[in-house]
Amino acid sequence: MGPVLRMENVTKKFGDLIANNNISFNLNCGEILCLLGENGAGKTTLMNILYGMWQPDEGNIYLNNKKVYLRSPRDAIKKKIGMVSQHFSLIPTITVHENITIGKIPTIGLSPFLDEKKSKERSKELAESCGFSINLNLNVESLSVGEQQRVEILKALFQGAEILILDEPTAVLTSQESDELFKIIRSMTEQNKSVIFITHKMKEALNCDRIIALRSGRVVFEERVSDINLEKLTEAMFGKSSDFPVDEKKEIKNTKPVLELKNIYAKDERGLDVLKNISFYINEGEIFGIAGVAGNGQRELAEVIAGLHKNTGGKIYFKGIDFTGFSPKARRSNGIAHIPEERHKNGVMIDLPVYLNLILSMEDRKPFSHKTILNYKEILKFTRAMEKDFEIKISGPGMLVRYLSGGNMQKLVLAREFSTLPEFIIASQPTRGLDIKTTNFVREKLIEERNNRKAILLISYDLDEIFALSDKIGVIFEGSITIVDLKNTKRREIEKMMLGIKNDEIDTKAAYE
Amino acid sequence: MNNAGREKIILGRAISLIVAFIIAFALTSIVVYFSGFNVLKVFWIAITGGFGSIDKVSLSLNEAAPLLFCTLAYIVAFKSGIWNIGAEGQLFVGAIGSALAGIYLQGLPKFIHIITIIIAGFVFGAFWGFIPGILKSKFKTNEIITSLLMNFIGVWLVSYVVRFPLKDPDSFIAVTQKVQDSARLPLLVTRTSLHMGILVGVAVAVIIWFIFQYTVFGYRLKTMGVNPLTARFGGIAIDKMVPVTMIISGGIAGLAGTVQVSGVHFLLTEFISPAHYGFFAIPLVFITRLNPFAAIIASIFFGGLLTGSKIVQLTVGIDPNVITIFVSLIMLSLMLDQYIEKGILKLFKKV
Repeated sequence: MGPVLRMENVTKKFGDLIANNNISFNLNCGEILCLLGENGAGKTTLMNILYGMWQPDEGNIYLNNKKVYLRSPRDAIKKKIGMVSQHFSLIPTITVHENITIGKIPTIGLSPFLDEKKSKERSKELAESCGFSINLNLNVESLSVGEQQRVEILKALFQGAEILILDEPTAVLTSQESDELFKIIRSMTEQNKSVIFITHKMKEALNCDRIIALRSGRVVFEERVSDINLEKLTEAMFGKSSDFPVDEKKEIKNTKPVLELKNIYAKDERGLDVLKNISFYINEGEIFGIAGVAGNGQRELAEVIAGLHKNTGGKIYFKGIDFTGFSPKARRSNGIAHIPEERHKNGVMIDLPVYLNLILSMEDRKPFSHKTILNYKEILKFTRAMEKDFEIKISGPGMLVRYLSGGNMQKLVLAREFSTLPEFIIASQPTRGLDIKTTNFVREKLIEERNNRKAILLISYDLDEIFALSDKIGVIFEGSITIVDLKNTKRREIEKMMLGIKNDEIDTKAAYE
Repeated sequence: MNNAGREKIILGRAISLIVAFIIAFALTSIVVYFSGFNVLKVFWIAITGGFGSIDKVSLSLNEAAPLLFCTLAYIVAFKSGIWNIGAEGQLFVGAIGSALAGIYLQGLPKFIHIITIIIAGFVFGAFWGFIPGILKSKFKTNEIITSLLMNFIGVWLVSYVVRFPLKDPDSFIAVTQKVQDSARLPLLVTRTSLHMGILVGVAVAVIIWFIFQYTVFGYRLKTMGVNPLTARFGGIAIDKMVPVTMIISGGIAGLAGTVQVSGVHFLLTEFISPAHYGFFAIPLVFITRLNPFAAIIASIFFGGLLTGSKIVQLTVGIDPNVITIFVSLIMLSLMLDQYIEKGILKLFKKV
């Protein structure tokens, strides 16, 4: 059988950013195609194009060898494409079968009223044909996340979907639920439906039929799972290693531990374990780099240390004091600074001017305020000094942060956080989305702080960055951290640890080659 | 942003305000015309009715005072990112506080008694605001809904207290006893009805401006208002700030009840908010774009319109509903001014 879907030379730009660069691929009938790639690799953009949410700037889409134009999700559904996104579109207060049939409501005769009996019958047939057992009369709000996802899948199938896109479906599932999901997908492909499975987890990719890996908007790898060469795939996903000349590192003597984590556990909003038994310490003048693929608990780790996320177990010591119950404010005033992962979301206030952004968390300190009254003269003086020291390009202190470029915004965050006189700095993705010049600037500043005996936790999805800056490296995978013995571990091995490929697994795969 | 840009923005805003007014008057004229009245005459009476003599100005400023307090209450909340829309209820409950202090505290020197009723109004209103605030921070309830519903409870609470516990036994209608003479707000101009409420309102506006502009506390409120995630990230304890903000906001709305009880009616009735100041102030606060000084001007203008429209009703005999339409249309087109302003700024760019 030929391909049911072909995307040809698809390119999509957002301003200067090329999200999809000349992407072509086929989807065969009855196949599970895995779209593998890091965050920001362009997976979701590509699928949104296929689902009609966005139009490609260049390129074509063929369904069953016929060229089609998908102008809206409605078009896509008509052409039998269904999508289950990470955020469900179910109505929580109505029943399961009503949700399933909502796209094509069976009515009583010609009246506009729902025929409940038919709706139930058809939902039941569909569920049974896929091997789902689900109580159709329950309200959706009382279902678990995994069950809700199944309802979402049934809803897409009910609308006649032949091609089903699953956008990171396992992100919200427990591992047991993920296994079940795969069984369900298999039973669907046996009925000649085709599935595109988006993920950044290697383990799941190996459960599919074929893998396409994206990196920076391009297809960098394409192979059937049965013929796969993991060595090549790893290289394709991470690229060739490049070296950054970092020679300014000073040797630091007589160091004491600044931060120590003991057996830290944490759960996410859904109650799943995101951090599992994490223990490490960081010394003065040391950068501890955490390598890992996005979504393995990095954000929660940073937030637990900053006091923004509750840990469910374990203790945090800062300079020997038990810090675990301290408020974010107390942690900050004791000397913890934090460069957040998403500066737009919680690093800056885009509707306030630069000078008000710069004093955040220091607003009650001298000289910025005295007896609760703000001292604008000092604040402006500070703003000018920071503008110079950190080379922030602004038209004046009163410029709204909204109008700053990403790099200048990050410099602003850096200027502020380093000014809080920290002894320990959490740097989450400090160079994300920055150009080379700014990246180097940020890295130099981090090294400078390290040389001033500050302890730094560096979280980055960029392995080059981890290697360039860190004195000590840990790999985080599914919420657990493994400390790497830098002398005896090769870069490639670290990459495999990041993907959760165990050494014995590699051996069995080697037999395929 | 440079100064030339600033001037353009201010000019754009001024023009858009004028355009909004013209649209409002044009639309209202149509309604008035088809109701069979002389358009010019109606407008003239509305304006002279509001501001034509010292007595009328007094009435207008007395209408402006509760309107100003409610608008300021909303400004404090909205600037902090909290959607309190319960000023009407906070006004009513604040009025209970002031009535209690005004009726039952006797023999106080006037100055002390006035301070006491103001504090009582603030505290009672603050309590009414605190409830949705603490619910939001403890249970993540939506303050829009809780504060809205608290309005109705507050209004009915007054209906209850003026019928039962606080009812004047010598009266046939549902009112309380009169407040002590020492609890009546001093007049600003003798032999008029103009009480000092509007002055207190202006003072509160200045205080709010000062807090937001110059204090650490105001800075934190502002941060919370523009980006609560960043505020929390910066160490600001949002869980505590939310109820505190609601206490302040509710307290200011409570002062609207205070001036109605001890400045206008001198007793507590169900009719202390004839124009529903707490609801009237919701569109007003958007017109002011959360600027406390703009709130002063807007309150006086709409206070005048409220008075003027009463006179129009009395003299021309126009149906009171037409007057409601009149005021609503002005509000609606003033809210359109943001869109008009965008258009004008675009035009500037082209020129």
